[in-house]
Amino acid sequence: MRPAEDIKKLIEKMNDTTGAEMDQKILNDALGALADSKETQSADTVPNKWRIIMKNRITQLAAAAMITIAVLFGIGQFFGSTVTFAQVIEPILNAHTLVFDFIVGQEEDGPVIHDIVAGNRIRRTFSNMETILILDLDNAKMLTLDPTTKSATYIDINGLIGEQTRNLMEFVRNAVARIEGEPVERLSQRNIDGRQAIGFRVRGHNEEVTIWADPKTAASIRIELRYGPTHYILKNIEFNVPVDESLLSMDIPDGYTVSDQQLDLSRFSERDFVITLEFLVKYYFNDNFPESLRLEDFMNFVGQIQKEANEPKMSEEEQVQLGMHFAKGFMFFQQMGPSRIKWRYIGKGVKLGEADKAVFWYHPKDSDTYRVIYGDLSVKDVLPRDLSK
Amino acid sequence: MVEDKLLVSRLRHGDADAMRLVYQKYKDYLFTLAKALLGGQGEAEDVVHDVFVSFARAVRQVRFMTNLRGYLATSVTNRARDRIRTRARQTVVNLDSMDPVSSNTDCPQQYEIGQEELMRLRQAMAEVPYEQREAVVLHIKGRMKFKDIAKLQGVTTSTTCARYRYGLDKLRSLLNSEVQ
Repeated sequence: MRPAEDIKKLIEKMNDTTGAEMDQKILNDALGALADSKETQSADTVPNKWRIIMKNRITQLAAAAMITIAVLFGIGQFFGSTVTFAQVIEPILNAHTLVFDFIVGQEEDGPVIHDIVAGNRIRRTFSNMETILILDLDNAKMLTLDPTTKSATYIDINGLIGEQTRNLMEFVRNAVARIEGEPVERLSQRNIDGRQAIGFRVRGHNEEVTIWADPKTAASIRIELRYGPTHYILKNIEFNVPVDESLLSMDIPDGYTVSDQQLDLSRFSERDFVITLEFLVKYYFNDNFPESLRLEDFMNFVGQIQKEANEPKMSEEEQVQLGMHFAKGFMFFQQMGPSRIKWRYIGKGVKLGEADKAVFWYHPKDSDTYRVIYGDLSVKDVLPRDLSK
Repeated sequence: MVEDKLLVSRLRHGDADAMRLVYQKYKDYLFTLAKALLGGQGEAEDVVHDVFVSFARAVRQVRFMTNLRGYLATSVTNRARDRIRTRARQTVVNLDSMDPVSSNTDCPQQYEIGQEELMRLRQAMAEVPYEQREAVVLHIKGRMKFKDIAKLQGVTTSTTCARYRYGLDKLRSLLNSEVQ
């Protein structure tokens, strides 16, 4: 009598494969279905236009600047002792609620942004401005509240803005997924923010994630991200903590009012970016181009704009126009990203009007030439061999 | 598994490379399950095709996928069961339609013996009642727990365990009678 164990071993030995032709067909059809689902989802969320509804004109520029804050952290689509890397990233991947602080850039003294996240709602506050943002990612809506002027602003964030407006921890999750398979470097124990921590570092093509965690509990203490040239520091991280739902309400609080101004941001162009540059140079840098043009710089610009919104240096009409251009100009800058379009800012030391000095260049997709912006804000097509000149 | 969670996370963003990785990782496992449940190459290929295409379409919408391998194995089982239902009862397997099966041995003589044994196993499998066959295949080859198989079959765990035992006994009886 053949024993059951022999039969089990025989079943375990069964190992069948599809034919090569069928193999390719299944994979191709699955890839096609994945692409179709992507298109369907995109089509569902692409709006005819983006609208901004604002309380009053005085906040137009500030509200437009808020759009930049919303999309500031959307970067398209990552990741001994007694704990393992898997244990450390488990809550990152699966937490229902999150509370954390983050800093754009590597400077610990930069503006701190505080996020409370529950599902697809985020409450975002800032150390360098009074404005409160409440994001409803399910319904692609953003509510901005200005406690100083008691003004409220609803902003539709469908389409590109919506796609780029994400919970920063979602960005960490994506980055972990993207560099999955890369070797995890273990970092020796050190003191992080007053606590002993062990580190894990993973490097991808365009990104690097370092997670410092408690060696006993695996709780994340600090996460450092680099995506392209942009750095983020996440601190004071708490997972699955109770969150007061009223903090995430999209209802207008008592005493606040809303108006019906609209701003169509459905298209943005190089011209918007040039106007944004001109605005920054003229109003904030005394006709000199800034030393750098990074995400964290925009973060600081927005803070300054917000402070000055109540003491405007320009007419209301100018604010309306400039607000629109600033938001669109930032969208133009943001959509280039570190991997999508090659670009470089080289404006350090250049004065407004210096027509022979380039301040910025980028390589439009499928173009044989580069677009170069000069100190007088003129723009020219330049062949690659002439770029260094 | 963390690796699978990461793959699913990438798939939710439409990452085609992640789909290739999932396909390479699980295609043989799923095909082996499908073929063990259904018997025929063509039907098993169709099932695996439909499972991957449906998975690709649905991965963005599926909110909780804690066990990717289990999810895919369940999909294969459900589709295999649908096909079984369309047949009155499968009692005969067309041996001409069977492809050679692989063996881990390099010795030609042992390989031939292995092929023959597996061929007989397939014949015997086809004669085991489907619910019992499902319990045997999913537990041994699918590495699924009895309680998960029971959930899938809509019966109690003890019923699934009984189906497994009866299935193994039936296989043993069929294979031994051939030898005799």
